[in-house]
Amino acid sequence: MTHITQHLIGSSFFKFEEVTSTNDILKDLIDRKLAQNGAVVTAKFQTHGKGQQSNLWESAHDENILMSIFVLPNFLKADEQVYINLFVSLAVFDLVNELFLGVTKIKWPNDIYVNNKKIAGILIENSLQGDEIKSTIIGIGLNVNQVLFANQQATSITQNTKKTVDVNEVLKWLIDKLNLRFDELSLHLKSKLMDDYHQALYRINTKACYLANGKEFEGEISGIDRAGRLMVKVNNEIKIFANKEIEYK
Amino acid sequence: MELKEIKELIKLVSESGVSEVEVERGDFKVSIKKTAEKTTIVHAAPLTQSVPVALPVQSMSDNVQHINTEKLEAQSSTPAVSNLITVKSPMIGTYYKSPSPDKPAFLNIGDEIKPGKVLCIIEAMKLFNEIESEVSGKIVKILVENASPVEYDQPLFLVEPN
Repeated sequence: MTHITQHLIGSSFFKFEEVTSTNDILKDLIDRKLAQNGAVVTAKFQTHGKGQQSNLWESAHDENILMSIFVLPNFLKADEQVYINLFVSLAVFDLVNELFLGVTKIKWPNDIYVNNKKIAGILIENSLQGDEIKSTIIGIGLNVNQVLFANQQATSITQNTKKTVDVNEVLKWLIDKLNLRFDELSLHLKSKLMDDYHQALYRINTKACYLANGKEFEGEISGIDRAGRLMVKVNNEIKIFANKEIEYK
Repeated sequence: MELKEIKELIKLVSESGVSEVEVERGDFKVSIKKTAEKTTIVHAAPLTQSVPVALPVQSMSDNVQHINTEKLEAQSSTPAVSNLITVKSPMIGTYYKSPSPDKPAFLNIGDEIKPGKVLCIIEAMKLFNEIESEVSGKIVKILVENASPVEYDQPLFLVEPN
């Protein structure tokens, strides 16, 4: 535990039984000046886990990691925030990858997949004033011991290892990984983060089918641009897509 | 952790829907549980006192204050349109007028805004940015459509300063 407390992320912990969403309770803690830079919130259950805009994140009681982290990346400008996404996705990817569960990839923008099934999701909420990032709340859901899923496209650590794992141990590893990648971000190792992300990117440089504007087409993902948008090569021409503008078939 | 912070934590537990919380900061640990009538500190470490302390919820005064220390900085105004201030996008992304599709918009024409007021959300890579105002004034025009892409420095709103 001592090596963790020296790092920023995990300098304080708020552990809840049940919350609406860990991101929301963390916002409340920040407003009340109770959570400082590096604070981590965990919950055994969330009643309104957040996916993007109207999507929900579902997780069984006390089987998985549900966490939110508060950081102040004041060394980044608003238009450099793609790197927040890269450091978080890579930290979760590093952990899952080291568990040797199967083929581990980051599906753009920031879902973690094992053998074509989703094992973790990330949702980040920033507060910006001008071009300054005032605060960042990082929500991570990682499926650990859940075996039964309503969604066939979901998986967990246990589903792959057939063994129950200690959620708190996994949480400690994850916080270590987050601190390592956050250190890279603090040191402005931006091209390393970008290269590592591209190496882990699902379907990079592979021909596959996509759907955009109601039309299906074949294309090849060549990477992400500086704003984090997906670049897809279609008939030798690079097309750029924002989140939700393109669907994987 | 200071007593002030513990009191605020108790207030959070009694005001929000949560039933209990456990806090760890360095060697310090405290856990707070809500029973039917009162919020109780179950255990506080370092263990100088091990007697459980019960604090009735009613004794907490209700003075949650959001302190805003942002300094007021006017953004570059468009010279063509009288003295209106143009609020521009700080990043490339997708513009959203409300926190989620079923929620009301952050802004309507005619609304008075102050520094710190959330104006909209701009999303990139599933990273949601609440854009806060740096100026005070009245919204006279909203220049972008909900869920549309925005470029860096693209004008979003026109504000009449006050």
